[in-house]
Amino acid sequence: MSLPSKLLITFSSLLLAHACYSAHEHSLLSTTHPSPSSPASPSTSPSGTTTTGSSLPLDITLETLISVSLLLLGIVSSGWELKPISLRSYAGMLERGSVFPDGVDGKTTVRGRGIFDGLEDRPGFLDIRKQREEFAQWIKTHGDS
Amino acid sequence: MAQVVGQQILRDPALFYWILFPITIVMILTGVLRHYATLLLQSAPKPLEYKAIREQKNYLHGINVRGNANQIPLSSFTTRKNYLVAAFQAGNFLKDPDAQGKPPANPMTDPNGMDQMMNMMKGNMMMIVPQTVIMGWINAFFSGFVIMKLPFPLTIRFKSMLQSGVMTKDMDVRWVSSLSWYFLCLFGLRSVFTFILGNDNAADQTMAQVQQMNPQQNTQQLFGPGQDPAKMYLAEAENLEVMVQHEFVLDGIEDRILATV
Amino acid sequence: MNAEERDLQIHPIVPENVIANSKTIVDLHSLSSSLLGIAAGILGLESYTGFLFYLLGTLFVSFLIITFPMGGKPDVYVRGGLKDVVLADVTGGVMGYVLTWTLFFGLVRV
Repeated sequence: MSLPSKLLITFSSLLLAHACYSAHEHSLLSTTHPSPSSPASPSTSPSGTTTTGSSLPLDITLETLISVSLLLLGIVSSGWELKPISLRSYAGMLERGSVFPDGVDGKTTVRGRGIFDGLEDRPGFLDIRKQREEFAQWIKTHGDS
Repeated sequence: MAQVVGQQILRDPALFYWILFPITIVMILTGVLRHYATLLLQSAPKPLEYKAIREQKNYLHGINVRGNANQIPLSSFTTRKNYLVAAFQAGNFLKDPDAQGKPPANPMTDPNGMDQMMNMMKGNMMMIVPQTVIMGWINAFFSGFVIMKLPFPLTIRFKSMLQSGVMTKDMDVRWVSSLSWYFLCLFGLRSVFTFILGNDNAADQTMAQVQQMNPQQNTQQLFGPGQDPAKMYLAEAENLEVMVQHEFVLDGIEDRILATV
Repeated sequence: MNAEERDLQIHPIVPENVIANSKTIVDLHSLSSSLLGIAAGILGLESYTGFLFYLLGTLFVSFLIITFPMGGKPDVYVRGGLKDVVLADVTGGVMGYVLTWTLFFGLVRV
């Protein structure tokens, strides 16, 4: 996560928390002092029934909207990685070493290995007799059950 | 029923501290607990005997040859097809060739089937038990209060469900009791779990249900209990046989490459 | 073999990457729908206004996703292009949205 988006997320979270707190205080104020002359609710509705969204002051509304927009911006721009789905561009990136498949550490691997990597490092020599012996042993223990 | 437009109820903030937050926290913690309990209860899949493995792998081989037929030249494909069709029809890879034609074994007596059933049972238990317990807990402790107002109107049908325990006839359906908050948590906490536990968590019921729909997906058992492998082999042989259209991907590759240059 | 299948054979896709990408997009959508729910609760939106807000917010988030991680080219990263970015996991998103919406709607207003 890059530093600017971190800062953006922190700042806008604070802003959102502040907006939430202000809205809470505002609704407290308007219910405990339900005077029709309060600046937030200029409509002459009966007291106690005016806690709808329209009574929220403009600055809190704006603060909420701006903070959420910034927060979303910060989250989305904080280094989410997507990989191209078409094989040829993905394989090209693998070969160029600009991206690594899952579970492969980019620092220890040699750069420039493609998707058919497994074909490249097959062992030159296989002790086939030993393997057959092992297989025969395995059949003896696991077969015929 | 005449509904007052802006029914206003003054609620004690203690309702939030002592009902809303406990329910939420308990729901989240139960989800986490369910996740880890499911991980612990999952028994490792038993290693199959080698003939069963052979049966499965050869079946997969057939499917893969069919799926990737266009990646190999026609002659190679024909060779593979002929070999596989002959072997499939002769039943060379079957675990016990004598069992063809016999009715499939009862899954209750089959030990492999038993294993699978046990896993499903465990999954079901992990879902149902906490749900029942929490619902009972909420009904026992928190019924009879109105705790919150939904921001959207609902039809009158929901009244009996969401206002259970509140004996007020004329109240707007939007005022709901603690049980409805429980339901909201049940359905809406998935995104929370995604961020606590990662993407493949077992905390959420909806995901667990989806996984139970297709249990073959991530188990070793390719042939489910009750399916006759011999018949599946024959069907696969027929599929291979029928697949006449073969178009090699590298046909006309020169033109395509030259077109991009 | 019709043209679409042939195209898929000639230009194959990487299924792992498709899954990983859609997971990332669903993650982003569910996180942002929770945040949108907080905003809607603070603003005190009710019924249709709230759902409209969710719709607008999701469109905004999709726009951000296409702009930032995708660099303006959704077709490179998602099978269905634009449609799959906007419509990824709508039901889960709505659920998370309604949860936080209700919570903050109740918390802010006494």
